[in-house]
Amino acid sequence: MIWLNLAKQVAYRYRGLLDVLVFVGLILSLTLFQATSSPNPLGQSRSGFLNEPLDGYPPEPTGEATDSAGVGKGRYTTTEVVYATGSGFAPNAYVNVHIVGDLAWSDGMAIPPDVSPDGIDTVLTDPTGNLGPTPVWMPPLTVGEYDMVFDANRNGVYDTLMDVVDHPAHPGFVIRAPVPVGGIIAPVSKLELLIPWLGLAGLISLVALGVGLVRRRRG
Amino acid sequence: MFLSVLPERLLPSRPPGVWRRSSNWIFIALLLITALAAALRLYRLDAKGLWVDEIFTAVFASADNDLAAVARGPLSSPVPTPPLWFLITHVFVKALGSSDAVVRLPSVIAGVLGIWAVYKVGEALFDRTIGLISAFLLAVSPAHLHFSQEARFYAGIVLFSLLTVYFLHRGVNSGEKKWWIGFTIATLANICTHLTAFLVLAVEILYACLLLVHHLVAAKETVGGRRLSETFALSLLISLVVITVCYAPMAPHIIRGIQGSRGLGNPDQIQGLDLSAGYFLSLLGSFGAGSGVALSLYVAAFLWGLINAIHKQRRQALLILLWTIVPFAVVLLLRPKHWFAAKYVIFILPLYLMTVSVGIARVARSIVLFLSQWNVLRPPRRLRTLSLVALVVIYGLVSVSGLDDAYAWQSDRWKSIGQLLTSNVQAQDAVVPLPLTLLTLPVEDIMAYYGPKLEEAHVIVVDNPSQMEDVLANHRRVWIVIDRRTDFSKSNEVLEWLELQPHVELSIGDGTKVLYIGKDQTQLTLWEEAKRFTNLGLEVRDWRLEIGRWRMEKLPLSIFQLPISKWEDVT
Repeated sequence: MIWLNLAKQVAYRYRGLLDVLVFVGLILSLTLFQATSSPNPLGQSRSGFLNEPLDGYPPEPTGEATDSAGVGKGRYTTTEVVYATGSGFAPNAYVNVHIVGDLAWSDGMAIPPDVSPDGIDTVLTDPTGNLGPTPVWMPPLTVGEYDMVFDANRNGVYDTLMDVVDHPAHPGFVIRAPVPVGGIIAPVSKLELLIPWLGLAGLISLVALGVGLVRRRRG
Repeated sequence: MFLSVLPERLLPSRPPGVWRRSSNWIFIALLLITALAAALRLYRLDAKGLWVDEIFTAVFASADNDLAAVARGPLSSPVPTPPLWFLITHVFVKALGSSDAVVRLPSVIAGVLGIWAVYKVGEALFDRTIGLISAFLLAVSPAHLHFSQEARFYAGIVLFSLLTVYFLHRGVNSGEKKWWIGFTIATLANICTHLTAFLVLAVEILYACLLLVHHLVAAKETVGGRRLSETFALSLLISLVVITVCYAPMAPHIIRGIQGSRGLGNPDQIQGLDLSAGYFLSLLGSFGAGSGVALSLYVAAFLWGLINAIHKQRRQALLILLWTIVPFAVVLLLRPKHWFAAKYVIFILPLYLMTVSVGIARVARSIVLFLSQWNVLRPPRRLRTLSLVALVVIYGLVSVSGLDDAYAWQSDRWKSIGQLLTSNVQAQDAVVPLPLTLLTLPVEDIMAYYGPKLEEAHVIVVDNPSQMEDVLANHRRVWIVIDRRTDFSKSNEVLEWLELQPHVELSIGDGTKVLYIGKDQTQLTLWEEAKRFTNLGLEVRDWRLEIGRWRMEKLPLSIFQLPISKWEDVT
């Protein structure tokens, strides 16, 4: 009870500081949330809703390499299954899904031969134009960097108007050898994670030190 | 000057004369904000051509139509739209002539009036400081700027929605009839502008009913309170009846729309709507702050403002909560087959910025409190004002940094198509626009806005290769317009046929292109002819068959770098 009263007194005494700290904490938490959460349909940009697809039109075709739940995936091991998932295509239409080596894509480029053992996968979209998740490359996979091409008009040419590439500028997905059994090596820079909080703690310490010095000089 | 805009509770008591002077300063500050808003909204107003939805507005509101036709056009379209905004635009076009800037002018005016409206609502719900900060943030909001420069109804919805809130708030608190008349007129204007305004009405009815219940419970003991509740309930009821009666003539069209392919009752997922936290953050980001720390600043201030309102101004907090939650609940309940876009809830923007303003004012107050408690600084007389102004400037700068996006967005590919075709299409030529996924207007009508008009050229819509062969057989050249929104499910066969024909592709940009084929012409002759009409920065591609694959080559830059003024000379 004494501690509670003391805490209340401290909270009241320093309510201005607490307010500011909570507000700063809110900003940091939101920034952290944005950094860790997956991209969303509006693209988290101020021009997101100015984009034409969301400005009166159905979404543009999109597609990517995913896991079996349809969640985008950029790294696979040779024992996993590569799935293709897409949306915004013509309803009830066939789309050719190619897996090719990583390339820098431009409009009108011929799509190179599919590198997966079963070749090009032809997938039927649902009545709303969604596609998959559908398995397009079964294990064993081959180590390397790849792009996934959704050839919507099935002409063997990458046409930016209709087709989708995951990703046009960098590898859509990467296949690595599986890590040895016994543990996963996940390089994490703890310092990098702690820097914002250390910065905040340092700032508060500096302010507290300054305040102490000023009060000491005055008192 | 700025001291005058602080909340009254933060200021020491003053003699009445000081407040009169404060009012003058407020008025001057508001005028400056309005001037800033008007300048931002008029800048580059017609720098680019109309995009397809704006063309709908221009076509429906054309000066060639009479008032009845203007009213009938949007209501009779496959996706019925209330006609008020088209009527307003029609009046402007009649009075000032038809140009891109004139078609967009009603939105500019609504956008500027929206600044005053948000000030009045902020003042009514909170205080003058909040009103002024809200007005400033709305003036520099990229989203509001964008819609204030677009020949569509969204700036109007923001304005009318603010007016409805203002009148409702005054009506609820005073019971005076004039506010209820204002509420009725503003609501009618709103729902006659766009169907999404019904979301605003739903929020307001719910808010009014909750207040009514609260009034009835709290005012049991007092005769005055009971009388106010009775007046309030009666006024609301009469207002709703009048709105229903006045809206009734439009009801059959709206019901047809509800039952149509873009109506209600979608059994699948609503396109463009996602209930994740990331989606809502993104939505708020698109309201002006973008992403990253800038978005965090805005959202933190919004949450801070909301928490403070819940603590101290519950009625306002209730309104904000309903305003931001109920529209999504209604959409989920009604399950539209039409895709959902952030602009359909653009009316949330001003109250969102108002709540951000409350958060900013509260943080400024806390900073001053902190400094004074710790005796770090003996607060000078105007420290409170300075901290508030500093925060507002920071938030304003965050918003201003996004204005480039709003200006850069405008897409004028139909104007480019129009210029290309009107300059090059000859009497023996045909123009074939491929059908679009849009329902509101057929592609030939959209294309006709910038030309060529139907009577000026052989504009033919085809849906199969044999029709294309007929067109090619009867014309010297055929121009095929492929917009980024072409309905590929309808045009796939035609496109496949085209791939096998010698053709030249003129890329308009923005995912749109014009293909050009000629009767009995080889790829080489087409290619040579195409060189004569390449300009406007168009990218010409030469498709040649090479070992079973089409190979693309780009023309040398010098060919398509001719200035626009040289266009007609060349052709």
